[in-house]
Amino acid sequence: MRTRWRALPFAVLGLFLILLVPTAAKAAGEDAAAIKTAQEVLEGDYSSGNFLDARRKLEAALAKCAKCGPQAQAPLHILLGMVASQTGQKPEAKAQFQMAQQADPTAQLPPRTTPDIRAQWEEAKGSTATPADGAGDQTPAEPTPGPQGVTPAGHIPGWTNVDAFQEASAGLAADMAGKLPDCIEHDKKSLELEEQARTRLHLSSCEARSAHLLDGLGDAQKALEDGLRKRDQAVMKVARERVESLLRRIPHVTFQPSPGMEDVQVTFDERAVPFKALTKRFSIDPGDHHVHAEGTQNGIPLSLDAKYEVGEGQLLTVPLVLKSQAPEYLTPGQLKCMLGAKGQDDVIKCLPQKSKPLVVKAGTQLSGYSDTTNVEVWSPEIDANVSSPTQGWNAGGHFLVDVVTAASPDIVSEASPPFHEQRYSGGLDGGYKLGVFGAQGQVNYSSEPDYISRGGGLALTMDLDDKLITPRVAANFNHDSVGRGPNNFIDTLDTTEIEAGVTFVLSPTSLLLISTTAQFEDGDESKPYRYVPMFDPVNVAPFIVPGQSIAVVNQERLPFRPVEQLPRIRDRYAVGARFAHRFNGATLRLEQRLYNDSWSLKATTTDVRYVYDLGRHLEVWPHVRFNAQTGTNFYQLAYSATVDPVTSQLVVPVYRTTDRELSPLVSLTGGGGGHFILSPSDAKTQYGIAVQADVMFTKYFDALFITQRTALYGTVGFDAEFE
Amino acid sequence: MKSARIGGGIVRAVLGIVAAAMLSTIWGCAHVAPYERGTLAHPTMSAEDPFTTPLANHVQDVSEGATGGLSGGGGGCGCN
Repeated sequence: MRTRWRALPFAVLGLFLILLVPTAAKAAGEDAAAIKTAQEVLEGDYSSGNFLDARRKLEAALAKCAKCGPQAQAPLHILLGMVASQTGQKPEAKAQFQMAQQADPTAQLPPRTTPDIRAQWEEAKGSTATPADGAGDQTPAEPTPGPQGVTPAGHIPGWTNVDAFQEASAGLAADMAGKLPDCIEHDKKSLELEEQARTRLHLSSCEARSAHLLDGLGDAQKALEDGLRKRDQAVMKVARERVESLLRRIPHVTFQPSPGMEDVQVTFDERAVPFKALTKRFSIDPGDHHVHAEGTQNGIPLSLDAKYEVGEGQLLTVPLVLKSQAPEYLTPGQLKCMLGAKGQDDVIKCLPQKSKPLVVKAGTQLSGYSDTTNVEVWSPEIDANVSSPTQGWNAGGHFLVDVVTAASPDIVSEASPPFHEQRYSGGLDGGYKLGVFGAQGQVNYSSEPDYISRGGGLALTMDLDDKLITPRVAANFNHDSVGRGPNNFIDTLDTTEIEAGVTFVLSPTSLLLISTTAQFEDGDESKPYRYVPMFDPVNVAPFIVPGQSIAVVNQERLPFRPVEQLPRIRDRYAVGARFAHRFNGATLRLEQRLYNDSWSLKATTTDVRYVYDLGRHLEVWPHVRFNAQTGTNFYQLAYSATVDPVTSQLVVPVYRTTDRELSPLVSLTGGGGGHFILSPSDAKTQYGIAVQADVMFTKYFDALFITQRTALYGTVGFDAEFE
Repeated sequence: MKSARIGGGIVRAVLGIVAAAMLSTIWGCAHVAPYERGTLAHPTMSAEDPFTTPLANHVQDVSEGATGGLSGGGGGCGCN
């Protein structure tokens, strides 16, 4: 059964109440309360279509109004009749109207009620009235609405669209029957045909009670705007209260991306959430929700599926911890493989679609060096590496050429021409991993006209504690031939290095390497071309100052210059730590080294690099390095030669050098670099370009010829990786 | 003579590593599940040094009196 509903003009409310209860001003307290309730219901729940609450309040008021005067009870019955009429309960409406008319025969309906209400009011009057009453009723009855609820002329006061009116009426009926989804459906259809603020408010009410708070809020806000535009005080009041109430009740959701997460796509109840907006708060409806996220970390596809139940007013925080594919899509072997993986590279090995049978990396780079002592170096290099992640082996090699041009003060001081030479260096390396054990070996060879170096080494690793701790031991050996002039090798230098280190995974975003090396050198490290000026021990040597010029040194030195001589044995010890921490979109790398050797040279070196991701394809980094050291125990600014009183021969210090790197110094290096990935992330072949440049300033505290040096060096490289 | 020096060096290295392990135990290594190690596989998180070029290494070797310490960094880090 269809019901009729229309808005009431509250401008005539006062008049209605005056006509309805002419003695209200004299009523007792209960009478006044009843009249007040009737007024509030008429303005509020009834006018906004909230008939359920309207009826409840009216019935409650009537129950408390047993001793009220008839003029106070009549408005309550009239309103109950109007509510019943609006909700399609015609007999009830008629009964309420009759009770109102019996309580107060002078009672009247408020103006401009619906045709149904007026018809039912008249019907009730006919049943209640005596024949004389009926004869005396001069008011012609309203025309009975037709089957569509319209007047014979097809016009419904306050409405322009009959179908909209009918849909709204159906919505009300559905609401009273407790069928909220039908209420929403009918009200929406009505609003599609004709915008009515009260229909919008009723729709908002049904939506809010159906846990669709967001829709309810939106419709309440529209009704409020409509009410403001039309200056409809009743609509404004109800809509404003509803908006405020819904704003308090609406829950929210926000997301917590994991550090290092890239390219993640998040959907909340099938709606996409922009990556950059993940940490914002979104309004949601209470109830069950589904979060789906998928993305890649270092090329590994990961996903998240989670369900949440959210109550009114709650804030839901969703941690976006993406994991590998669900176990039901994996074979037992793959699952075991993935559970044992120690990283995403290992996970890749377990996934057939991401398997990399053979990975090839190759690169070429050109490096350059220049400093204020007129030393220049150009160094092109190529390298390549092939690995089989599934079989655990790798092999690679590199080759480079150093083209050196030098006219340093040391050379100039000896009146030697600038020298120009080339060094060729190459190496091969390979490794194999079997279970928790790994081995990596390497050999290298370098050659220049007067120096040849041959070397090799072996490193062993072992995974401990579920691969969270990985110790490594290594041994390297080098045998160098030291020459004076091309193919005139006069001595050798053997170097044995023992190395031990452990890498600790401290957290999902940080790791620490602690390592120590012991290096033992046997042989002659002296430069056969480096001559050491000697000075008179009494009259000259004490007066030589750091940075003394070439001219003064040559003028004041003794006529002979012995060649440099260093101790033939040197034991060098160092301990270092490397800490890396990955932030969201950046990596901090810290290195610290402490050094001591048997020549009493002590040093500390600190290296810091902060790698910042500028988008998916570009990372840049600033770099700072600081080194400070003491001199060796035999280093002197000015060496002295004396005459043996017995043999009358000159006696020079056993160990002597002008090597500034064996003197006390500090150096500060600052620079940076960048790596630009040229290929799309899903391309099979990845290309990249790397650029680095650093400026190193060195302060020498106790050296001849110069007190400081500035060097600039850098590299431009191109790399490729493909399967 | 030489073997004695190398033996002493190995002893020092081992002592250093034991000290490092104790230090790490004090700090406490959290257990990190394999699926949580994706970030550690990022190229910039290598325990080795992926940034220093051969030339930069050479410049540091000849400009600084010190050497070693982290020259052989690496081993496992949860990310190969």
